Amino acid sequence: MNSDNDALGFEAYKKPRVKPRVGLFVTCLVDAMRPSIGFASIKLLEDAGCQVEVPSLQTCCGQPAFNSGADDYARAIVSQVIDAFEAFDYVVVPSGSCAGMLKVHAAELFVDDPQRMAGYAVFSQKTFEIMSFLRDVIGYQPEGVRYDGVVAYHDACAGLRELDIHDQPRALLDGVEGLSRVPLEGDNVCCGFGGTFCVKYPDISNEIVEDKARCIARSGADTLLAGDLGCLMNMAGKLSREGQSVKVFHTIEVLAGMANGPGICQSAGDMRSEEASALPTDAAGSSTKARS
Amino acid sequence: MRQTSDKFKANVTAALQRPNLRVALNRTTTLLQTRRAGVIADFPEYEEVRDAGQRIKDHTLENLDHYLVEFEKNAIASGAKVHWASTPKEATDTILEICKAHDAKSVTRVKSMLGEEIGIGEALAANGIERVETDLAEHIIQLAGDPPSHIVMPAMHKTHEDVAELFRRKHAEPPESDDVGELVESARRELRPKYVSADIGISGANFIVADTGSVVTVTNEGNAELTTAPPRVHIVNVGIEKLVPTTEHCSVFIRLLARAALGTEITQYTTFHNGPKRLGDLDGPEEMHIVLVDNRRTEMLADFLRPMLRCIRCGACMNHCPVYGAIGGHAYGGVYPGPMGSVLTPAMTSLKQAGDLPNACTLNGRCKEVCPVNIPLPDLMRRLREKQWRENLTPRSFRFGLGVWAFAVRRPWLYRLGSRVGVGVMRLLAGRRGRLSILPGAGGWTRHRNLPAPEGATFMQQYKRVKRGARGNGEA
Amino acid sequence: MSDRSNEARAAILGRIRSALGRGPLDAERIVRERQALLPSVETLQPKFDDLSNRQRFIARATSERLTATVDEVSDMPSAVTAVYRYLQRLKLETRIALPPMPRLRDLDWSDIEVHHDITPNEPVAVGLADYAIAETGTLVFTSRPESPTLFNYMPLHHVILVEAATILRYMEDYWGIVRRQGNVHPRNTNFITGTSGTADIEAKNIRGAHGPRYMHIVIVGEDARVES
Repeated sequence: MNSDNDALGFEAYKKPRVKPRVGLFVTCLVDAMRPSIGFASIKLLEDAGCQVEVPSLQTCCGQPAFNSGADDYARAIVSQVIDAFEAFDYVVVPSGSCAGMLKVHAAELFVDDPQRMAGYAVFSQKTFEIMSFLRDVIGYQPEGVRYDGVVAYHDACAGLRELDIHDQPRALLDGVEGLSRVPLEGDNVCCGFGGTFCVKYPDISNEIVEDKARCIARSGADTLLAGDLGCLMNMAGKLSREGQSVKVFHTIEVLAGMANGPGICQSAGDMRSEEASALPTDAAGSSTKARS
Repeated sequence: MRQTSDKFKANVTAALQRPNLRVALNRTTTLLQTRRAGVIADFPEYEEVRDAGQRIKDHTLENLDHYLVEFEKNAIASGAKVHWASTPKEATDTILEICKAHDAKSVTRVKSMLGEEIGIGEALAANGIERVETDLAEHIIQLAGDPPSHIVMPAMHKTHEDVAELFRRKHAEPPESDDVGELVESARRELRPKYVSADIGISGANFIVADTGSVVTVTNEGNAELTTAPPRVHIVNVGIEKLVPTTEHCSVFIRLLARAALGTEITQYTTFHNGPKRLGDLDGPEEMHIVLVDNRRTEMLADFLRPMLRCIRCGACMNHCPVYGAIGGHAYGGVYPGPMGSVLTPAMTSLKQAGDLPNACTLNGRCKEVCPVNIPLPDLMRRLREKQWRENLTPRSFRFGLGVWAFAVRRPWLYRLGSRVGVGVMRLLAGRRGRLSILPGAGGWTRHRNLPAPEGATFMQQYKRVKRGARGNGEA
Repeated sequence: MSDRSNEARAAILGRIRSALGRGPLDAERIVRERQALLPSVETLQPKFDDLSNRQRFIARATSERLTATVDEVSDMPSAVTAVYRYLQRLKLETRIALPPMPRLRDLDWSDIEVHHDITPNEPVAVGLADYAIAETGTLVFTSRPESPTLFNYMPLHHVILVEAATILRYMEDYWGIVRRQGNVHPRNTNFITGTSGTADIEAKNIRGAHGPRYMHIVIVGEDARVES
């Protein structure tokens, strides 16, 4: 059954609706740069009892165009998203920034068009950032997930200020065994990514992320988590350039138990050498640390 | 002051090369943020007061013509003279005429950003009138020949070591050490005699009150009263948006202003000035002149920028802005820096000339969060970008790039093709390292940061494979 | 008003009306609307129900932010003694600048030399506040022939007498009194809160920028019987 061709949703309509039908909006950055976040999202959502599909007619949320003032482009792109996700009960996004664009900002684009605004309003109501969806809508808490690490949590700006995402990721992470959180100085201060901003004003962006890297170093954490890949790439890129050994993941990867591999800007080689230097060995030379 | 917002990028480069600036900014903004957070935590009614402040300003703006006329009537009844000026030049011409009429040789000034806006400093200098800045920060920048870098603390860009060195060179009786207390004492000594020898005192106004015709100054040092009471003439230059309806409405803003600006409940000196000397007064000016200035505010009233006119000039937005914290106020190149300056400078001068300002923003929203009158600053900046796009002011290369992007994302098949290629190339370049430290075309990023290596296949590619595999296994 | 100003006035008012899309207004409707914006001002005032006006005033006045010192006495003659004590304690000369206000001038200053003018480097001035505001530890002065403004700004030490019965709770209470007394506003109403200061250098709070560096408040008499 190829739901990609089922634009009118008849197949879904025929099935008894026991599970909420969730359409995953992958985001362009996750699609290109770190697909594992997308797969982690699917896993978590399925574990939470949802039926998850990824409609193929999606590319971008339109935020680059919107933030650049190209409202006509943005409107067309958002309309495409609305159409692609018509058949779903929920639209879930592993990014506060893209979710904020789709759920909140896009309203401005349809202000002069009451008819399309009505369609947008329906779409907006069913769109959620993933951690907010898991906690606020489903009331889900992952079980039996383990991550051994000391975590500093960064509140990405859009999710925090546009969608009130603050308590949900912390509550979700507090259910992970082996994971402890440390306060991060300036955790609600922008990391300097800002989408098109870091492209247009890279030196200012760097100045800001340098500050962030200093705070992360001071926190004593060995892991940095956040809910937005753009921010994560920015911070990981800086930490990596500075030779800091903090592992960087998207929160969802940890929650799905899929944070065993290389973090962002890490390679498998980095991991092996880190583990080698971190593992205590007994007299016989074998590791005594339990592998997660 | 000379505007250099068209040289924003060059200004930024210069600013980032000054480690002292970063030190100064850090010392100050951190303290201001902490103090503000503390005083607001102690004020449970804050959110309600802030909403009331927003509503009062909106009401006043919606009835601005009425309130201006009411203010004028009451100010005249208290004995003041009221002048109107559409442009900075009309304002300075008016002020110079008053100075000439009184044969003024020297003028003391209380800090006023509107004064900077109209260029009163240059106008006085051009007419051979001595100008003595009495606000400590303004005194510092006057000695240094710098423009202001912050609207509440104009000398924020100077460390105390910088100030000590300056005072040692310029004060008649220099300070004995670098200690900040000593520096303040030195400035007090230096400025004392100037208060009583000035012919005219010029101030701005934090608020003007319609139902009493009052001009309100909110200060910490005592220089406002020492500037406006001794001389023969008191001139006020004030923007028309500074109106509040009554003294009770003004009290709402008095509670908001010091908390937002400095993290205190109230400043030391809040004075309501109502006209010149009364019969029998032993001090006070013989004449009081109030110059009401438009300078494009009526234009902002007419369009999407109207909420900007609520601004009470507290500076909280810039104190919490990561961009301001990185580059300081001078880089913005205009009278007003930071988030509010990024809206006001294009609005008061030209969007073409100040085009970088609304774009040099991450849209993180902290400014909007701390604004005591709920000005949606990031939204206003985005709408200025929209205006730039519509008026073809966006740089051509960026416009082209975005056009290509928009074209591709609306054609998913094309987008997939492009992203597969791009991702594949990046993966190749990264090899096994998990990251890239160079990427052609991404110099801005890779100059300071690494780029993560993509996994090699996009999510959509992998997902399709997974689903095909699942179908092949008989799962649907 | 000059021609230029008249033209600007017409132009500005015209632009405002066109920006707001209408002609001139109904003043009564506007007054109704603005009153509706402050329906119950109590909700906009910081609460301190557990403290009397005097208690809150003293707490604020002596706080680190304001740095005033406070004395409490029963009547005006005792206030003179309190002033004398202050001068002695700080080893200041027993000379003060005093506004020519009968209520102050007619007190028996005995050993303290009094003059009724003020100079920029005046060491000590003594004043009598019209009112005080408990919420913020503020003193209210109004300019009149008998109380020139500069007595509040020129001296290094400002010793202020204030009658306990005039300690109001909130600034709005002061506006209420002014309205009830015919809404007459003096040339200057000074709301003075603590000693002069500046944070212009690295946000460090320093006392004594241009106004008085030291403030001593003498609270005189009994609290008002009914606190507003």
